[in-house]
Amino acid sequence: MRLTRRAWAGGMLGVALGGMRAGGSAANEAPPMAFEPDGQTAVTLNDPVGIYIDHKDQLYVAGAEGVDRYDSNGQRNRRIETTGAARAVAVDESGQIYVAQQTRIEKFSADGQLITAWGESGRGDGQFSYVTSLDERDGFLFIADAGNRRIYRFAGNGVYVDAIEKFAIPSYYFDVTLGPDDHYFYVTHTGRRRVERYDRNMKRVDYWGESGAGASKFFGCCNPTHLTVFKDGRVATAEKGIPRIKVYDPKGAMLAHLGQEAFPKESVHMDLATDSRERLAVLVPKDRAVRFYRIVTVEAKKDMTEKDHDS
Amino acid sequence: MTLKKKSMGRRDFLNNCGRGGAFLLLGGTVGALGARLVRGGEVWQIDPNKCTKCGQCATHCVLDMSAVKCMHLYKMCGYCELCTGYFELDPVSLDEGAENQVCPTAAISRKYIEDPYFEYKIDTDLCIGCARCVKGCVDYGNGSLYMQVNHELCKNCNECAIAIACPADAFIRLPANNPYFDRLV
Repeated sequence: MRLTRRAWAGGMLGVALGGMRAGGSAANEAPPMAFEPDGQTAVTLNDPVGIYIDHKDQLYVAGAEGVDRYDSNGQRNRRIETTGAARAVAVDESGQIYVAQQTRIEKFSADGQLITAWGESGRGDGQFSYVTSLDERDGFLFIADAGNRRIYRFAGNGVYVDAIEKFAIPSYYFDVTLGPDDHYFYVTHTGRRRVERYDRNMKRVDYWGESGAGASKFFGCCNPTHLTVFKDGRVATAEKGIPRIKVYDPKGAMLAHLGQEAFPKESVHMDLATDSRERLAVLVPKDRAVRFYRIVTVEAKKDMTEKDHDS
Repeated sequence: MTLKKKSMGRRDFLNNCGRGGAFLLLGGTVGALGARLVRGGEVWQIDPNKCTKCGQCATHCVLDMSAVKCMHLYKMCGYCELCTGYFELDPVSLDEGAENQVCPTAAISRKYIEDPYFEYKIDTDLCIGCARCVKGCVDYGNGSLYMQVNHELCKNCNECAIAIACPADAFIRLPANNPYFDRLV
């Protein structure tokens, strides 16, 4: 077959453009770090939706019957039954446990005794519509309410302090977590597909995140659904729709990516937490498990894989 | 012998008309009831929880344009700026350009409400029942779009061609007086 000059030129242009596209994509998306599995803990609660790891590396799981606590070896050492399905859990320095239900917060002692509870349904100041997440620091609770599209600040005894309003939250996924340095907290602004950072005066400091299906972007109507922050300021995120988890540097550049092939189809509620060993804990409700990962360099991961093959 | 034709009085005529009308009404009612009894008083419908959004509703209906349409449950909708029922998975830009839309017939209109919310409406005259929008919405969004047999169009065939083709057995029978699937129950 003989090619005309025009066809030849067109073909060469196509090859060149294709190469540029593939090269550009690879350059943008190839992350320098990887996820290395490091054990998992089986979950017995029905409909698990939230996790938390305290300073003793105890894992807390929130689900339909309440909250289960596991020691650092993965052995369950307590179940705290709540009046309604638990949606999120957080623990303070003294071990007191805060459990969020849809429109109610219950506070328990470390041995599971109910101390106090509050919360009423509504749209007013301090009222709840659909609480999805909470975190505690220095006697204050930060509560994400997806129904009212607000982040609330409460005192630990249930007294309402203030709120940030007007988040764009299209679905029941809205996460808040305190940063490692006590000065900032982080929010998943799902409707705008970005991670936002706020100071303790409830003022937004910065944000990052881009819409799209590409590995480093946040996909669909409302992502990321969950997040957690490492000690050095790196941020891990989880998404629904395309279930995947990623780790970003503090400025929002992607460092590691674990795609949908690693998770059951249609996985949601993949809540995240970190432990003192800088492992990332990922709740995988469809597997009824909390998986642990270490974030390692791609080279280290390659070495580990080769050693596994050799052994 | 001569036959004498008996003339009918006005009262007799009206009585006969009344009897005839009542008979017709009775016959019609019995006929309609009979027809419904034959079909069990049920119509075809799609169970959205079983529907796999395969696209066969668009091609297997006996009508030229399928009686299966996309419906929108506004109570479940997030009014998303990036609606995955409206936009392709990785749109060039978030606007109404044809290259960005998932619907092949532009049956979905998008209206700005307030930042960052948009309202999406289905034009059932344009919808061909391909379920591409439903797939995007269910797989990546809130699932407020879903397929339903439109009973203003459906011929309610005894043997529904789409039901036979449906790979997920998502076609079910619902009472004719309540023919739509209630997703909020």
